[in-house]
Amino acid sequence: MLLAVAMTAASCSGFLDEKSNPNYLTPDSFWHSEADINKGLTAAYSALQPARYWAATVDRFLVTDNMRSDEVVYRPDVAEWIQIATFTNDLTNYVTDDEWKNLYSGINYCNQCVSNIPGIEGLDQTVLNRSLSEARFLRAYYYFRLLRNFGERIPLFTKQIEGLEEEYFPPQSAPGVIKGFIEQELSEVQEYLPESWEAANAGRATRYAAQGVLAQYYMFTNQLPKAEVELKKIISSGRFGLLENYGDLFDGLHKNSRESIFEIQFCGNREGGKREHNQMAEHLSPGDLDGGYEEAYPSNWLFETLKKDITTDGKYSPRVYATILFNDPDTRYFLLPEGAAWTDYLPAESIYWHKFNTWDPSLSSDWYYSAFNIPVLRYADVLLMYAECLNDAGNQEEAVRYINMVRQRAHVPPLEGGMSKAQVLRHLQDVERPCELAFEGIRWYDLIRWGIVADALKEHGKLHVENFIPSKHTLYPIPHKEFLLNPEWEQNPNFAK
Amino acid sequence: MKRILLTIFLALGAILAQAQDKINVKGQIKDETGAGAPGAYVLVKGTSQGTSTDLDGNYSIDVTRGATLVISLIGYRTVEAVADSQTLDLTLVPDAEMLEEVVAIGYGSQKRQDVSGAVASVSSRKLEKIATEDASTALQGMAPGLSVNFSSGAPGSEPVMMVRGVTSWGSDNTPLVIIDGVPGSMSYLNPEDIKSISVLKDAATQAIYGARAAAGVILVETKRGERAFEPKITMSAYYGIDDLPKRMEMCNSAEFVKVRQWALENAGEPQERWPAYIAAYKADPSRFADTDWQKEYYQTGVSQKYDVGYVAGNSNMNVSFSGYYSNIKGIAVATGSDKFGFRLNSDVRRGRWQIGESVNFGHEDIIPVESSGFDTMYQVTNIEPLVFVYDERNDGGYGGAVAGMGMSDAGNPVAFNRLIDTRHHYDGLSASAYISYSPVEGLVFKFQGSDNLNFSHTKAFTPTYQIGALKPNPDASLSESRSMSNRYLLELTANYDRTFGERHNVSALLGVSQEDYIYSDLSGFAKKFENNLMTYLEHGQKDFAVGGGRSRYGLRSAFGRLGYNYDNRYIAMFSTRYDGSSRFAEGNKWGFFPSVSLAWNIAKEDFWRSLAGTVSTFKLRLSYGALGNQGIGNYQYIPTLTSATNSLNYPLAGLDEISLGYAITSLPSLNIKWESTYTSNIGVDLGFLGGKLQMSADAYLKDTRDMLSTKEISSSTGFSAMLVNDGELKTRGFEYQLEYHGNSGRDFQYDLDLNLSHYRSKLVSMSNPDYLYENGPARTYVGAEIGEFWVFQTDGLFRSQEEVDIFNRTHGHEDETGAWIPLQPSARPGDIRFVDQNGDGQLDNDDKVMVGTGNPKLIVGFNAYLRYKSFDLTAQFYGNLGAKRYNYTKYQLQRMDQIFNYGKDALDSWRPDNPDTDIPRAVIGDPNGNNRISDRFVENGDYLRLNNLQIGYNLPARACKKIGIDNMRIYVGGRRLFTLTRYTGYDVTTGASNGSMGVDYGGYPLYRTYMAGVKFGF
Repeated sequence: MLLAVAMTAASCSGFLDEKSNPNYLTPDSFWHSEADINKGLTAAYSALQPARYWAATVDRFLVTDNMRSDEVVYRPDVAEWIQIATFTNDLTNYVTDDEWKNLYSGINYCNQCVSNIPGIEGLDQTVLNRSLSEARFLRAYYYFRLLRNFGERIPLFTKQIEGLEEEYFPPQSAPGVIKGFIEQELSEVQEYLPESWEAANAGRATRYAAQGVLAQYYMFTNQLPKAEVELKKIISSGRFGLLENYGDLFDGLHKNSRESIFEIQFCGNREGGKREHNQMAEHLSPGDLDGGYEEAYPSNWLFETLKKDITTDGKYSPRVYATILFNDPDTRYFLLPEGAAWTDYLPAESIYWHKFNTWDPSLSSDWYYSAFNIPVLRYADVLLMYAECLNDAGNQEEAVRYINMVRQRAHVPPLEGGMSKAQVLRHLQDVERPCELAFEGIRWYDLIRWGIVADALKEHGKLHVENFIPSKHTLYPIPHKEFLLNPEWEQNPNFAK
Repeated sequence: MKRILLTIFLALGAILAQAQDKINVKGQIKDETGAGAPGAYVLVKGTSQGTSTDLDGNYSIDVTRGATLVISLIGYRTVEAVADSQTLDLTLVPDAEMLEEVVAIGYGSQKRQDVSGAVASVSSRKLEKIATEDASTALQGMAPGLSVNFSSGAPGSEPVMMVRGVTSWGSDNTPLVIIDGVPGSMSYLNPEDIKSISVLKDAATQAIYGARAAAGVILVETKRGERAFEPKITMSAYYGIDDLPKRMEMCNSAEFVKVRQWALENAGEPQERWPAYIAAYKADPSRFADTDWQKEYYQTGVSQKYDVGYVAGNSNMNVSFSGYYSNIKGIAVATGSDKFGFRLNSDVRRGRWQIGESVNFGHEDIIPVESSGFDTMYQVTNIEPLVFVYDERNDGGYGGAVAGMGMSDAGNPVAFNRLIDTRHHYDGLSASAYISYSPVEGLVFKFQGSDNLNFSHTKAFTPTYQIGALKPNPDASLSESRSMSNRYLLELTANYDRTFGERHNVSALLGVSQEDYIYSDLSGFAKKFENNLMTYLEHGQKDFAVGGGRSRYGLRSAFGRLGYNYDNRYIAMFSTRYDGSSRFAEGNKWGFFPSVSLAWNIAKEDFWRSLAGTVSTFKLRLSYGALGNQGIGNYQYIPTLTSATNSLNYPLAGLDEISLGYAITSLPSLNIKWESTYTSNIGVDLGFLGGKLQMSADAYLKDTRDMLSTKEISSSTGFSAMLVNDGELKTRGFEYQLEYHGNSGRDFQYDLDLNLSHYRSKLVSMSNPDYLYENGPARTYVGAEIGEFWVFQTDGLFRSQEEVDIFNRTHGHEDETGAWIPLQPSARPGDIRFVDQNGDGQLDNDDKVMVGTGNPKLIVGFNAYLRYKSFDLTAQFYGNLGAKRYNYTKYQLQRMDQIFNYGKDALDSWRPDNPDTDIPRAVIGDPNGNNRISDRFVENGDYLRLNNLQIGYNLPARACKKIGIDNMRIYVGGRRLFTLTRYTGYDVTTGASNGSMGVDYGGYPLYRTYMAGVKFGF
């Protein structure tokens, strides 16, 4: 009986009460200081990578952005990747599902910032506005990625989830809503974002990043005059320029350089189980050297195009060597042992990607932890897009001048004057942009905005182009799971639900 | 002074003893056939004095005239007789009748005839004929309503037990296991220790354990010693040879290269893009191996177990001890497990007080199968036969993909198992003690305290190796983790049981209990070691990582039971339990779970008397009640902010300084509360021919409301599914048990036991009426059974391009530009034709058809125990009828879109020169989606398996005596000796997760054992 009394007495001391989960913080204790803002924003930035599971970076930067283009040839290995490369992907493909999920997770983290930052008391309004704008910029960028691959019939969330049914089963946005949102957000945040960041915060969003992504959006939606305005802002700021050596852009030793408008940050620090690297080199390097996966190769068309990129002294341009690995005495590949010949290890005629397939021992403990950054927009692209806008507006001479800036850095001879509007555009489409920007996740979206994707794939020998249905394969299907919850949603054209 | 008093007492005692009339009583104890019964105990009632009968059943004992002798023998009813003459012969009556069986019902026990709820019980007599180291395995097919399923046969994996089908969709369905009154785990329970097992199946019996009882309760009582006067020692051992009963037919090297080439050709891959090994193999096959990976990976395993124990006691105390060691050498190379443990139980009675304890210690070491990226079973059939198993040139000595040949990255599974050293160590200590006091007859107060302490330790060391060109590991790595959990339980009960006026029996129980569970863990990781021999964390040189956490829940309950029994004819029982759990927020913490049961023993009525000769038992049972479920994780109602995980961190400047990110990554379940299950049960017990034939049947309805379920929400919220109370699930079912105890003369006796179970669990409602959950082929939605298989329907192969063209001209739809999009645009001859069920010209989710479920319609257990003279035979069959299975192994072997090896069926794939086949063409990338979820992979999942067979020989008593023992049994037998099934995968029984029952992802199959064993006592 005494024991029973003792037990009852003990009951009052919170035996059944758990106020917090000892393994986590509670949201109540958060969003009180500038440090909290930075932690919240870090989460919002993290979705850029996305390093959520093994090879997630490859799913985005290799498969999603590049696998469909005429620059890339797949290796017959991973079925889901083959399906995307050969336009036989359906709505059960995990890559497209994950792209959707990862982007909306990023939007969710941004919205947590957007909903909470304004309420923080006792902080400088400039800091609040700037931080809020960073979150809004990232959110707009994630929506832009969604727009390019999933179309505009996608849900729009602009604030933190409150737990309402209409949030759990959201409607599809009406046409125009997502586009308007992206445009408005990227326009509005420019005022509050800084012109630059100090070195320790390099890589955070600046107003030029917002202008640049807005320009990409305008280009993608064929609003070239508007794009020209944004690009002009970047150029006239005078803050940006081209790196002297093209190869420096991808060696990981020149991160956040003056050529970078916005790039996605990676690092090789593995201490404490951290995982902030990408797996690009691991998936691009030849299997015969150190067990790389060589999941994708440059296409013959691209190789042939690049081989014509000859410098003024008659050699292959630095763009050729930095883009493609091939059997050439001037090829320097980190996995090829010192003094070894190409043919000691690799088939004579084989070619591999060199871009995003580099390593420097100062960057990470092992070569397969790639720590180079991946650009979203660099200045060379700004110049080429600007040239395209000028050309579109009828100013061929100026356009060629900007193109030649880019060519000059690659030590290839300048274009002659007197090209027609069509010739300049054709040059950008077939030569300059592929040579300069190959494999940077740009080509596929360029082909779509130019409306030449079907022809380009066919002319450039894309494998299994016979499967390509223009009205279908310019987009990915909205994930199947969404239709289990929202049966009345519309699927992207010609995909099943 | 003291000494003087003592002397006087002693003297007085001696005088009194002499004054009493001492006699010597002799006699013979016979069994029902009239033969002498050896080994029966003859005890003087109320003393510790006694003897046992000899080989002819004779005994001799000196007693006081008029004393009562108690004669007992296992398997017979205990009888009492007054010693008033010098000769006393007695004949024992077999205790075959189930009516006399005592059934544990939770905080007490009842005679079988008084049970008003639904309880299935399994006695040690049945269990001891099953040689196994795993207690739950022994229960398969033994109790109707209890299903035991295996998700895998891998060392260390445990079966999934389920009582009466699915109780909850989205939370825990595992029954509560109570060992000697304390929640425990079957994994540390030595099957030899089990005295009896009761499966509590309806609310009336479960309610007393309300808090976690909804998914059923399994009450285990362990052996506690007997009040015999002679200690007994028992030893036993068995040894078995294990093997994999079935292998898949795989392509050899030449065949593999052939099929791979077909697949590439059919995909239109130009020859220069073919992997180099195709040309190289054709030029010189000797550069490659021709490995039969199943042969290399699987081996003949060994199961062995050794037991030793004793029981002892007298009228004041009893004690039992048992210890065991078991070892399994797995059927996969370099796998296995080691187990040992002991149990000590004792009780001491002194006047109105009783004190006792149960202590169980168990230790288990497991060497698991290693994963090289894919499920192991897949890996064994994935890897190309071209790969050599061994290669001395490689670090570690194992072969792998040949450099420069474009081979797959499927790893050498033999190498992974042998090189990577993973060990799981588990230690479990469960100690409980009680003290009870009985102030007046019929009333007992009892206080019990216990602690279940579990430690686990996992160490996985990956040495440096080079398993072929694609699997280099230049740096060794080690991950090590330890966890500890403590479950404290304090319980105070008052039990009252009294019969008034001979006919009115009243019983009552009141109790309170408190349970506290605390778990904590820590882990470490390091990479790069000086060499492969220095394998502890302190030798690690880089990439250090640590982890650790803690979690707790508390549970507090008050409970009561009131029973009334009138003349063994009318029985009523009420139970309630009031539970509070820390897993729910304030306001939702407490749940109240009442139940009632009624029984009518018709056969005891006067009007039945004339029929009693034929139908000796006829009892109706009825019960209804509610039960709670708190089977969710801890802290679910508390909002959390996730921090510093790899998916939230970001290196802001692209330098080694990593910024830690914080965000809400999952939605809290703020209003989560108890799930309630309402169970109604109706049952009847019948006994015929004086108890020889017994039948018991139950039908039930389980209605689970406020179900703990996951709410799927749009992933565009950025969140995944959340835990809610939503929906209603109904499970209907019946169970049927038939037992026959027969004999033909004295020499031949047999017990037959047939049990049948059926259940069907249906999702009745969800707040979203369109709720649909899909996991592979398995769908669960409102109005349907849990886990229906929905698949595309195939319609044969396209035999020619003409057939494709005609089909695609008539099947398809127009896009908005008016262009025709064929139904199967990528189809070629040899591809599968799919059925567009709704004719909308698209193959989508609406075109799937229901083809059955993985849940069996009928679960059958049939057990036969035969005894002829000194021989005995036990045969236990278990089967499922009416189930479908989704065979992913077939999918894997026939997919032919991948770089991995193929099943032999691939050789019969469609080709222009092999047009009459059902197997589609081999093609890389599967452009037509031949491998989509379809009826192609759905197979009949019916089976009947001989789970256990034992043929034993009992050494005659005389022979035993010669070698100085009491009894000895030797046996030969086997486990899972054969399985009747049409299923073509490895094992028709593996794969048992709720909601996707019958979806066989190629689990590690259960092995077959041929064994011999011996057991003796003295």
